[in-house]
Amino acid sequence: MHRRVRNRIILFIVLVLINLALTLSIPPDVSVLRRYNLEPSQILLLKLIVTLPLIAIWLLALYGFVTVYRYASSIRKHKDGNAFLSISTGLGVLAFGLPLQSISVSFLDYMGRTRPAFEPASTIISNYIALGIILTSFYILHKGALQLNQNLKVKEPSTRSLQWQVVFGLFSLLYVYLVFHNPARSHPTEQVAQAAYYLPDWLIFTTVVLPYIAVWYLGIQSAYNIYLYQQRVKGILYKQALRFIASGIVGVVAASMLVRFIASQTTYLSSIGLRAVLLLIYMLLISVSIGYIFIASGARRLHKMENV
Amino acid sequence: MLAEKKLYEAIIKITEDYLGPAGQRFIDRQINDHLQKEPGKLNKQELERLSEWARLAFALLTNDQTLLEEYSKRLERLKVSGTAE
Repeated sequence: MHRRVRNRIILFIVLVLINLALTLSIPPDVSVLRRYNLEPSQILLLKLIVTLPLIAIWLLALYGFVTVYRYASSIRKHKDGNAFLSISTGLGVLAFGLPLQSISVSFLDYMGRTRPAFEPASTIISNYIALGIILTSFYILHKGALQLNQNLKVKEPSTRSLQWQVVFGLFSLLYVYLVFHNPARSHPTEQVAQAAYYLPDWLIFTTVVLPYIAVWYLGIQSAYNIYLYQQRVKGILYKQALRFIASGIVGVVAASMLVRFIASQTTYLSSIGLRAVLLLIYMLLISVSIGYIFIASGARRLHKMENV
Repeated sequence: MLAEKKLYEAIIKITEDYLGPAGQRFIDRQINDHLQKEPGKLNKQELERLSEWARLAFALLTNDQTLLEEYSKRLERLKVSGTAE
């Protein structure tokens, strides 16, 4: 196996093991035990029920990234090689970001619980880490997807561009509405023990909402550009393979957006039962894993075209 | 020399209809690996051997027999006409 790929896999596994160790060793949140009427042993079982499938999803994300990276490396000397290298890097940042974010959330959440004065800072830092990871990932992904279409030298029809921009605009407005109608956004409430942001509205708008809108714009543009490239490029078998990658990236981008939507609704989450929360988590995890499976499937087919 | 170049370009053109940007790399690899020649320096006699290798390699990429037969027929027609249609 290529040395760089092997090193990345080793690093990823180390991150997964660190996360597993933290998950199992950090004492449970007493307020969660009380809210859902659970024993500490039940919380441990719950953690495993959530964490093990989560690790499976992370490993699928790693597989998706490694497969695209292998393909991109094999064509790096060609004009589409650079574009696919950027796409694989973007997917890699997202994949590595999954365990990294989980480690930071576990650690910061524990710090916040045991040192209440630190809770606002831990929430703010967690939010910005999540934003930083997804912004970096989608920016690089967008760069690669744009380059693919530039290689084809085809201009996008302006009407189609306007349509999706309108849809995106409406979606962004909905997100802004949901964020600022969350009563627990800046301070905890009676129903919600932890605020979503611990920031004043103007900081929420400028440093959270606007960047997330930019992130989704980049994500949707990436997915759309890859879809356009797949539509316009020559090659029946090549297009079939790309369809998998395009669909996978759409799935991963959509799931990432949903996660942020849901995270902004702390009041709603606190009012629904444990089963519903778990169901929501699993649905998102399944959509992310399906996305990465599609990406890996498409990249494997493209890689085969470079090796037979 | 010009005829060889035209033949090479014709093969690329046909293959790109199926493999897109990977088409030229696919054909260059068959020429390098199986004919031990520089791409672009192919004559009509070597075209038959290349067609066989390209067909075999193409069959590894798809289970679609219709597509495989179509590709094979187009390479066959190239042997006769000397141009991609």
